[in-house]
Amino acid sequence: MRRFIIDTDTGSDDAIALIMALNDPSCEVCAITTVMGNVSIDYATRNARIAMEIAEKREIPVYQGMERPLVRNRLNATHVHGSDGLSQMSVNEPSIKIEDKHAVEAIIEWVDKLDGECEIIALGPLTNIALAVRKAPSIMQKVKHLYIMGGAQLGYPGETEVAEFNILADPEAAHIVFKSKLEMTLVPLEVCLNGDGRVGAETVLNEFDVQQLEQINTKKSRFCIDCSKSLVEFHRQLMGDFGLELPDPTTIAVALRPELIMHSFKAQMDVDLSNSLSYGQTVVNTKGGTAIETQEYYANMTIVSAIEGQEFKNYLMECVR
Amino acid sequence: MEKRRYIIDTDTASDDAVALVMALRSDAIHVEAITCTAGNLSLSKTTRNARLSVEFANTYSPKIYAGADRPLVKELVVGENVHGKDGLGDMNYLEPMIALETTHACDIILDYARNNKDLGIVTLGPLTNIAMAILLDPKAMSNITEIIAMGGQYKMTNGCTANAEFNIWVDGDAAKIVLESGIPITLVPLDVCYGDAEINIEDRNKLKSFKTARGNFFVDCNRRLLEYNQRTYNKDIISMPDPTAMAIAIDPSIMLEARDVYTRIELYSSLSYGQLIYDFMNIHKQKPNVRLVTKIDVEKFKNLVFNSAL
Repeated sequence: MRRFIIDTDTGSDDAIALIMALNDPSCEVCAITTVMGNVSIDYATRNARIAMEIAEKREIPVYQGMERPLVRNRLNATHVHGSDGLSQMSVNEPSIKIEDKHAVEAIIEWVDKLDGECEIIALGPLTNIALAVRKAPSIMQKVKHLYIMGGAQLGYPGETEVAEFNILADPEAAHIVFKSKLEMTLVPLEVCLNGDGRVGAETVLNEFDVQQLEQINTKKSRFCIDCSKSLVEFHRQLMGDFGLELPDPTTIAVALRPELIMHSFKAQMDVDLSNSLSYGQTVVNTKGGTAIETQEYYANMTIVSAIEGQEFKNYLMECVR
Repeated sequence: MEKRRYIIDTDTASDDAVALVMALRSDAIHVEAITCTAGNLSLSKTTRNARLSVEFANTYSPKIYAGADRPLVKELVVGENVHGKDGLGDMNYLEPMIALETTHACDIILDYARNNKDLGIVTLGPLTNIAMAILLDPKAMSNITEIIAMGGQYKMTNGCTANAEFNIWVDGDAAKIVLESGIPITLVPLDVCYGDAEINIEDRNKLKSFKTARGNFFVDCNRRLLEYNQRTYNKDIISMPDPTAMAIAIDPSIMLEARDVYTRIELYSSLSYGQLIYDFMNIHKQKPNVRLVTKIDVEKFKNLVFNSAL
């Protein structure tokens, strides 16, 4: 049985991602750690626990983590996910307790304890993971694999023309993680979003998919639809059409259903830390280029570039049934 | 039909040379002047190669001017690793006979700009000369109807650095001045110059089969570039960005798709210096300053190359 820590800045798509992972019998979620990002740390921790209660998995320990990025000022995405991160849906406040231990400590302890068996899925800014890497570098080398939702290849606008939200929300943390030499797989924006200037991602739910989700009509499926209202509205305003974009669930699928990956490649990915237009941009270097022939090259991660869309949707439906 | 008139600004190496020959053999455009800049090679080599290219074209002789010998701010980095030591395949061509004018490229560009309202510029190299002309007399330069520039990339990576293309990267500061000038810019990025538009072995055999000086020149002067592509990318092709840009000046219908987009440039990042930043999502609600070519008619482009070699 594969064992995971999920690190999340729980907004609406994180909540769906958690429900999926918690309902997948092929894996064990050992711990959930929270980080600011889409919403403040308090909302992230609240929303993670709500998702656990919806999934009826109350026993997993929840650890609260960083309330701010390492260096930069705080961003949030409440314009995307709603002020509470769950589209202000009507929901009972969660009763699951929050562990006393800090998420960074918890990550280090779990990684040590599981001794080479621990995999991490990071759905938000990489602040907690970066601090764990800095604080306990040799223990963190025991991480079996790190899955990251974040970044983009060239030509896929996100929060700025060139930067995706999770990375932009803490570029310095991403830099630490990218240089950590952990085994990493990155799920970038372009396999999760579509629209103008972006290649259409096959994982985006259309109206028909959402109808199917409605027909399932379980507590879980209804939650997925209700918590995503802000996200759907945001997409409609930006793109003028219907689309439910699910970056974090896509990342769960990459981690738990690797057979859905249609295409991926290894490359060196760096984070731009300049105080300028490209701050927070992920720069993919596939080696080559007339001016960089002589530079040092280290392929630090696997970058996913295409997912089996319909299979992803089927997997999502199966998890909320 | 009256020919459209252009100045060509070039850092003449092998693919520039093909572009110059195409321009001079076209019935659709008239080349008023050729201005040279440092870039692929040092200025003394680019001026030599421009003059040689005019001789190979064997039609008429626009005057040829030397301009900037280095970028505005940065040190010059040349591309001899790509185009060969002399930039024309190290073929030992006879030295050109055509004279080099003594007026500085910027001055002649400004001269034309002041006295014409129907003149465009095609740029095949770094934008140093154009930026200097804009700095010296922006009002005169506002008479320039369009700049068709080979430069940049928008999805393709690892052209020159990971996210920057050579012409823009060599003098990013000059590119910024041009982008902000208000002159309409048609940008021909690497993305549309590579792939199907590249000159493969069949194309080269066809060029050679013409048994013309130009057909041979097109292939031979790109010898080092071919070797570079074979060695570095294991690809048996000659990539010809400058002829692609020139083809769009000669026959605008070669441009099949384009996007008008507000475009800035990164100058303050060590990782991303010279990267063009396109606001495809209209985040900043700014007026587009660039028409970015996103698709070309490859067949028409190649036919234009072939016809220029006949």
